[in-house]
Amino acid sequence: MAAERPVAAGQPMAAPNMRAARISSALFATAGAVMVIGGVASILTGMPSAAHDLVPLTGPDDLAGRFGQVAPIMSAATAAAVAVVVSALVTLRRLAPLAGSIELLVLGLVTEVCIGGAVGRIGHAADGGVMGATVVAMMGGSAVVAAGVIAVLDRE
Amino acid sequence: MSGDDGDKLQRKADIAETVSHLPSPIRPATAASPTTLPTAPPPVVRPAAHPPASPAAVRARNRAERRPRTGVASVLLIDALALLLVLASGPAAYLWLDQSHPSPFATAAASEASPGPSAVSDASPGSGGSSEPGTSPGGQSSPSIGPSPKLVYGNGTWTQTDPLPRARWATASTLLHDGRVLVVGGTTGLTSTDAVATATVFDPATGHWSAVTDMLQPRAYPMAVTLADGSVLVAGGSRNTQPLDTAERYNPDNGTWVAAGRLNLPRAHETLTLLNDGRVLAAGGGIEGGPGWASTASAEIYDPKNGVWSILPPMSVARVHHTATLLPDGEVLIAGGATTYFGEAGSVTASAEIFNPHSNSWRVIAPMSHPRYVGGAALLNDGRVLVAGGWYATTSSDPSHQTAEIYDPATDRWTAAAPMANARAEFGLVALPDGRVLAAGGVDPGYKVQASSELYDPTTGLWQLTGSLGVATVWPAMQALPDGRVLVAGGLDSAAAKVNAVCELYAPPPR
Repeated sequence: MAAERPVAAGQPMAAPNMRAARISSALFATAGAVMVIGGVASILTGMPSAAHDLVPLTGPDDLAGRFGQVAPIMSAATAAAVAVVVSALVTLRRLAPLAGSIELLVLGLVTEVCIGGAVGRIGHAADGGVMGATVVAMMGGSAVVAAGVIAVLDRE
Repeated sequence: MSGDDGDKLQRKADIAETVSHLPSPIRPATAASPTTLPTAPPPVVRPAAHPPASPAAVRARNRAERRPRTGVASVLLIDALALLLVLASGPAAYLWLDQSHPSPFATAAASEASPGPSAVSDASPGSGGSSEPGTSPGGQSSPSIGPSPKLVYGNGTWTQTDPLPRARWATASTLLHDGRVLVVGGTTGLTSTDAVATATVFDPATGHWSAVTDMLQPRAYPMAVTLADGSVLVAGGSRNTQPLDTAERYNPDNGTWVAAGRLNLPRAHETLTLLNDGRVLAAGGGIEGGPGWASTASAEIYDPKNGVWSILPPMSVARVHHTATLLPDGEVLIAGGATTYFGEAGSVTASAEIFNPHSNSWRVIAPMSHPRYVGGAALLNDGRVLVAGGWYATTSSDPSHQTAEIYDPATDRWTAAAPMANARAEFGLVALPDGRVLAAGGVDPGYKVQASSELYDPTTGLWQLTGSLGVATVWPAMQALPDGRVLVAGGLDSAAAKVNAVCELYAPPPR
């Protein structure tokens, strides 16, 4: 009879691939959120270039007055911020990986839909060129979706 | 030992006894249990020394040890693929956006990049500005987008076309890059109390009007200009007899209006001029002041890139109902205007000055030979500027005159031109693509509304009466079309007492 290999007793530890998936997911979600929030902030402030059909905000009063115009892209930024929180919860094992994965997927898609839906206003800069901030924000949404896909790998 | 400690020890002993009687599957492995139960798993005991393992066991062990490393590699591979996809989404989004807006932007940008005299001579002067007399921003680049259509000539008569959906006057009109005409705002009554936010588009190909989304707010006497990107900037105007400091932009592609910042001063009857660098100059106008309105010398500039209005150094004198004309070198000629406003004690100026967009500064030039306001100005094809008609005083008799003069930027001098056939003020004056200038409507010195129109030919230096409007009108929306015809829409008729919706098209006779 072959000798039995010793089995470690005590608390089960995550396999390295699971840890890697969690870390990757968190990195993708955070980077994506930064891109989305940065892109939206750039569009709202008009720096470095203003969107063709969305004049930059001049202050809180302007925001209140034109909330309907900026609501879609602010929703995208909010979804990106929530994605960071979800990713952190998954990383800290306060949220089941599968649930976190689904949330990240949904949030990433919401971001893409919000930015894509507003592209008629923000797709182009005032000088007619493609709006770089919009492209960056859409890439950020893709990164959040990717974070959701990667988080699926983090299964015990 | 306290009584509490004794209780705890007793409870622990009870628990241990209970656990020892539990069946093995739910018994904790750490509990001290006898090993006699047959279902109990064998205790883990590390042998003192491993016996030599068989090759199969070694392979199995290696596989087991290798599995986590393979999992990490898989995750890293998926990470790399995800990163590639995210990076690829950038160019994909760029291409999508780039293709979603093909022609107007690209050509506008090209036209903006190469301003200069050729762009000006290709342009259809009088377009892209306001319908207000005297604000003819000749030489703006917007109509030069795309190939020039074949000029349409007729017998010099006016023919009625589809009327405006809503009768109004004091509107602003501008030529869109696709050749249609946008008419915005105005009032349905005699004052700005009845200002409207209505916007309509005239298609010269079909001869019909179609409604577009209303502006964000009603405006009478607004100013409008087509920007290099094809959108339309509308600024100022008045409502409820108060000048407005708001501006908005219309996107013809999706039919939406968005706010375009706030002017530093509320203005009505100011001039808006598209500069070659894409910015827009707003100069003078009527501002709110006690007891009524006052004219202002202030000027500001709108930058479409950041949507901000920036204040400029003021002009040498306050002006309202003056003219502004973009010169071939990119400077802007400002001429005439009323220095005080709405009163018997008002005064009219003959002074003129030039705005330099590179230094954002003003330069006073030689004055005109006659003071005038609510006149008209148009850029001629040779780069000179024709200024004609207008009132020369603000008294109740409103004495309009028929004089005309020409400013030559090369010599920096004004020279008298042949007088118009009829004295007129508050009329429309536009340059035709073939170089001639058409004046139509307005009021004569007795404040009688006119239906006559006349053509100025720079090659002969003479004015010649041409066909008359079917309905006499004052302060109409007047726009030269790219094919050489001229559209007049709405206005006041019958001694300025009735607002009309009549639209007429003028086909100029061949030279």
